[in-house]
Amino acid sequence: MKKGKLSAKTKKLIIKIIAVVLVALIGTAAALVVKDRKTDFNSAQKYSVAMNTVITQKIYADVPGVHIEPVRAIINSLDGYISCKDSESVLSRLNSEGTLNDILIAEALKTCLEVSEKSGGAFDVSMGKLSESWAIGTENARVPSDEEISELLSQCGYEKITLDGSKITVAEGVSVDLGAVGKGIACDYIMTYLKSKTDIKGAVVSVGGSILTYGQHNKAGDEWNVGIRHPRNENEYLGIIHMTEGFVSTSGDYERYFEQDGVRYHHILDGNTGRPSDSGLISVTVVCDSGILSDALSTACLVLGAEKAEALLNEYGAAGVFVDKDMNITVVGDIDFEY
Amino acid sequence: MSTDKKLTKTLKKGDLFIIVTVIAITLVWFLAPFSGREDNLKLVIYLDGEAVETAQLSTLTEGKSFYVGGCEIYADSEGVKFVSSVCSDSLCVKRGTMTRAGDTMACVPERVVVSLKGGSSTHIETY
Repeated sequence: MKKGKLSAKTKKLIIKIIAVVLVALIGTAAALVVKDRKTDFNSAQKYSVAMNTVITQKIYADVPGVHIEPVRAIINSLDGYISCKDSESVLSRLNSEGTLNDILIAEALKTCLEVSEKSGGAFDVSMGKLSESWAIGTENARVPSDEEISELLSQCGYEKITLDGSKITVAEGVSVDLGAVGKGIACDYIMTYLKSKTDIKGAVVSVGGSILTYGQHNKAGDEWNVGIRHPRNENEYLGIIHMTEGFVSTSGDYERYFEQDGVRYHHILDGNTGRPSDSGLISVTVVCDSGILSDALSTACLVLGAEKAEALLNEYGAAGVFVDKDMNITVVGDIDFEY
Repeated sequence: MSTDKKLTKTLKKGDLFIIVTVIAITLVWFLAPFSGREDNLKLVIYLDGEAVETAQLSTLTEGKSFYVGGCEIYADSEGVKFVSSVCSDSLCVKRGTMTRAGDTMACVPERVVVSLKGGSSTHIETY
């Protein structure tokens, strides 16, 4: 072998080293790309209280903090608009005067009345006085007498609410309560705001458990993971919904309730009996493309029971997760639910 | 031993070293953000939407009470709970102890929100 000249074997080994280093570099570069795609965008998170519940917002944007207050403002202004507990609200004006010309409330009622009709009155926003009488979730919670329930039921009924464009009329004595859909309405308005801001890459907002997911949280477009609270153990998840953009709402017998003589009285009233629903379902989660609809459908389904609820969800093309008293879980529609 | 043979031996070790090192560093660096250790839970207490108290749960081995709004909140390395509140319904106290990353609970009348932050498998919770 001549001095200064490498043998064929040595050349082969050098090529091998170069190949290993190249593979390592390519591997690292690939990992860098994957990591970059999997890393969440810059975000801001805020917890606050409004609409008598907890608001959680996480917004992904270059300067996410600037969107926190506008979202909170939307919720606060809606609260003053559709709250039936605020005597100064627009909805209270409808309840006291019997008539109102308002496009926001008329649009909301249009959706509500449709769900009422399709659920055979299981969902009914005309039960304001009945809800007030039960007062569940307040220190004055009680079980009204049969006579009282019967009397109050006579003042309820979604068919007593009429719409003519933006003009709303309610029969005398009827009190409209949008509490069951208020959080979903808020989610709809927040979604409109988020979509109008081109710098927002993604967001997840919870208004008291009514949720919207928007856009992406990383470049890879990984799905949002929405946990469903276990109906009998607050510190556990029932499961996790993997989803892209949409709305999620859960209704359960565990949110607000009181117990008397060993009986649990929860806050979701059956429009046909005037009493807390007793359909066999204790938790219903609905996923669909509208906040108000996910709220209304989850309430309606809890009242209807599994069989009719499934038919209702199918009618709307919505998906859902039902939990019955024996903790049996039923998954309805096109939904990626891990449990 | 010839020069070629020595070089061959050295290069084989070198090959192995480079491969193992690069793979190990890449894996550790890549997986670190996804590990989500529950013992790194951070407690944040908000009043009117503003963070007023923060603490690393793992440091609260002897437990600590926080007084925010009209609420007493107790936290230790195991979790956090509302002990008392001047609110009328005390739903916050009935909520029990919170232990998971991503969990929140609140005393709505007192506008106090308690959150546990850390590695979490979910972005948000519906209830």
